[in-house]
Amino acid sequence: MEILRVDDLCKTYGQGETRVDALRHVSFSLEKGTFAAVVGESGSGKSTLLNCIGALDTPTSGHIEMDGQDLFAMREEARTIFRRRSIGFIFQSFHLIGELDVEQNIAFPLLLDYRKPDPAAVDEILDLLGLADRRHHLPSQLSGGQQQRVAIGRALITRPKLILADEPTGNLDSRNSQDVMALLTQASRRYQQTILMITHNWHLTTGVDRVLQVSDGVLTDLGGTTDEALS
Amino acid sequence: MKHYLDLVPVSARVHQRQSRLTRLCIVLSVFLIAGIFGMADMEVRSMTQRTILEQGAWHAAFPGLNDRQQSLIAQRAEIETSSRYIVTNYNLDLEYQVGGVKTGICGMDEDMLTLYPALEIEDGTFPQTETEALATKDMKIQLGLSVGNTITLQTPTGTLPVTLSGFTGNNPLLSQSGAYALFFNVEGYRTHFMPDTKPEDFMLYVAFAPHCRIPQAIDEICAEYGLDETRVQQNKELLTLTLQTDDSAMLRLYLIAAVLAVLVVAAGILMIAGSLNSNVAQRTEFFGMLRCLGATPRQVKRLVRREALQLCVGAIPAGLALSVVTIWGLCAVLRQASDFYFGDMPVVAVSWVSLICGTVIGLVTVLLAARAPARRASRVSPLTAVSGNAAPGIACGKAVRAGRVPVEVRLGVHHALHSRKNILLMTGSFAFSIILFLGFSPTLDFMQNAVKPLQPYTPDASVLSKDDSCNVPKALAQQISELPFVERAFGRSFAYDLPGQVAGESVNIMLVSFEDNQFGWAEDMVREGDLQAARDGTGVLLFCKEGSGYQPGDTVVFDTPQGEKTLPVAATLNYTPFATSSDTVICSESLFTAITGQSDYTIIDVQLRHGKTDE
Repeated sequence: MEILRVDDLCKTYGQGETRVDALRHVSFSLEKGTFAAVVGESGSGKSTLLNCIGALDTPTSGHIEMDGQDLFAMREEARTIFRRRSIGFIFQSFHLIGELDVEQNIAFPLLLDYRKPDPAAVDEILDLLGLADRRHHLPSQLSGGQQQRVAIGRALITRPKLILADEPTGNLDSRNSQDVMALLTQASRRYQQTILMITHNWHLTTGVDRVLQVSDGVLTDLGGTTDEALS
Repeated sequence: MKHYLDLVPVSARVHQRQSRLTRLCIVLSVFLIAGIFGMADMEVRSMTQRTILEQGAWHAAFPGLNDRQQSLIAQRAEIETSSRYIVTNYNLDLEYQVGGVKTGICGMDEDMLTLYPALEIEDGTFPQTETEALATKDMKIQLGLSVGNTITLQTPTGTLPVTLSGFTGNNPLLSQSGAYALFFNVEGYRTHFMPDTKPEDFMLYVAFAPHCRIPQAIDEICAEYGLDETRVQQNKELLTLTLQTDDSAMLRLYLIAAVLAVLVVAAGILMIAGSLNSNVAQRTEFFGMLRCLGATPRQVKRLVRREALQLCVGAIPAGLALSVVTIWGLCAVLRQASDFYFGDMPVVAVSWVSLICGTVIGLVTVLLAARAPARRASRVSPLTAVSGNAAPGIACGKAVRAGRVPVEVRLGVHHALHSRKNILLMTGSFAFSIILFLGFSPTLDFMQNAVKPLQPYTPDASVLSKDDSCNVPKALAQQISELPFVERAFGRSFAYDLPGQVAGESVNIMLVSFEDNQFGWAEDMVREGDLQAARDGTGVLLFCKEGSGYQPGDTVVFDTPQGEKTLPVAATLNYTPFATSSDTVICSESLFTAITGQSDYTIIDVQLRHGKTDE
């Protein structure tokens, strides 16, 4: 089942001498439950692609359909609500709310949607993340890896159609990076969760189902579950 | 947490330091608003208290009712207190005397003491029998009387022994005329004084219950009992103070307080909005992250507004408490400054008007101030969180120019001028503060409409001519000024309706004389011209209505028995220290004598040294 479809996506910044074509005619689709990685050098356009897919930025042209709905055919408020219910974000810098504990941070997106958090669902995620004994800790009392796990939990709690992870291991050491990747993979398998991850680290692509490369705004599907060039 | 807004109190506890400035602005705004309304309320209470002491606490007096009608009216639900009151020899023209002194005779119920606190019994009790009476304090002191003494009241038909059951305070009118008064109970009055009493002398004094619409109640009573409304006496001053009449005097006071409050609200909105804006600007990434998580712009606005209201939780009570204490202090200072004018200021009182206005207006101010910062926060792009750039939405069109000025200075100027809204808020609040400061002096004139300030020429006591003629000896002013407790004594002579011309126009002139002190105070009253010629006796001052067209240099011609006397107008005045409804000419004492032939005064004003008592 196709969760995400991107058609002929273009994004241009600036005009004249300062014009930059960040994305050029990008087209691809993702099936439900796929764990895909987008790799590319710095400035290649991979973050721009993620921002457009996450409805954080408006493309210059093209279409993005998620679960059959055209993201940019909606009004701003409807698109925000759609994003809240259908897309989860994991940031490189975690972006947790410092005043809330682990449990509250995870449940926060549900509160924004005026839904009552299911204690069983929260417990399940805390167990999956290995944070059950840290549920009342503040982010400042957690390590970087633990904070990123909380961010993953926050992205999972709404059971979104798609999780967008922007360099989720960028601020972590190698051990924590492996742990985070393992968690993402586990979440993808367990919940049939579709995940699109941005990374510049080719080594992290070994565990994903699909690899897409962005170079100079052009997307190339490298396909497969393994990067054949690396292996 | 059950709602996303529950984040607000949690965040407020953690970020107390960052919100200190905003809380201070809220405290200041609430303090000023509550203080303004509180002082206005204290002034009204003070005036009400003084009016009750001078005029009584009654609201209306109904004449010519029989006993049954009086009883029925007294039992009405809207009547809180009532008392029968009968008086004879009010004009002191009948032969009622005690010890050779003319005496007024009154009959009243004991409730009259509630309706007229000035009659408070200082010694003794209310008369219980028909031959007992209360006497005034003057009688007690001058005749050396005490409770239980029996005096002989001379009546037109003989004598009446009266036992004194007690003594009341002095009545200013009686003291002025040097007369006494005796207060009997109603039964005692009826027993002895009915032949000299007219039906319209029978009055029923009433005080209505609080929150009663008094004019409406009076109309209903008059309609029910067939009374002529024009004959019903009303305590106009008290009714005005309690906003029961159409007289706008009290409304003017509250209107002025409202105008000042609006100024404070405007300044408060600018201050608080500027502070909240800075707070929002520091948390751009947070708001971007909220948008990423799916918060709509409306939800972000609601969050910011809720944060602003959260700040009110502690700030408003603090502002109110500060205003209460400050009002206590100001009332104490005013009482100390002038016991005569401010002696009735409440000692330690809480103004509910100020607390309610401070709270409500404070909340409104904060909500209005939070609008712009809330809008700014809601416009933060979700990209802010993704890119990690704190201010991605502010795109600089061009780079900072190179030059001789150090780069940090150029950057600072560039940042300061970059956000138009911030510039507007910051410079607006500074400019407003400067305007308020510079406008302080004209504001004093504006405030004179609300509270008549003490003027340097205001006397503590005056000696007046009985018939407004010049028969108060001039030498008396000198004698009074030499008394040890007198600061100064100065006189004025008045001559009314003198035939003459002003700038060629035939008018009747009121001529008044000033001495040196009064010419000195008149400097502040000058509209146009110079006082010196008037001081020297070679010119005059002219007070006339604005727009009459008179100006310095015009001539005033007096038709005197010695012939025409023509004098130039040295200066025109904006106002005079005495009430006058017509064009008034002011001159020196020597000139007044030359024109009218009169050298004595009509009035001598006396200013006492500080701290001197009534004794």
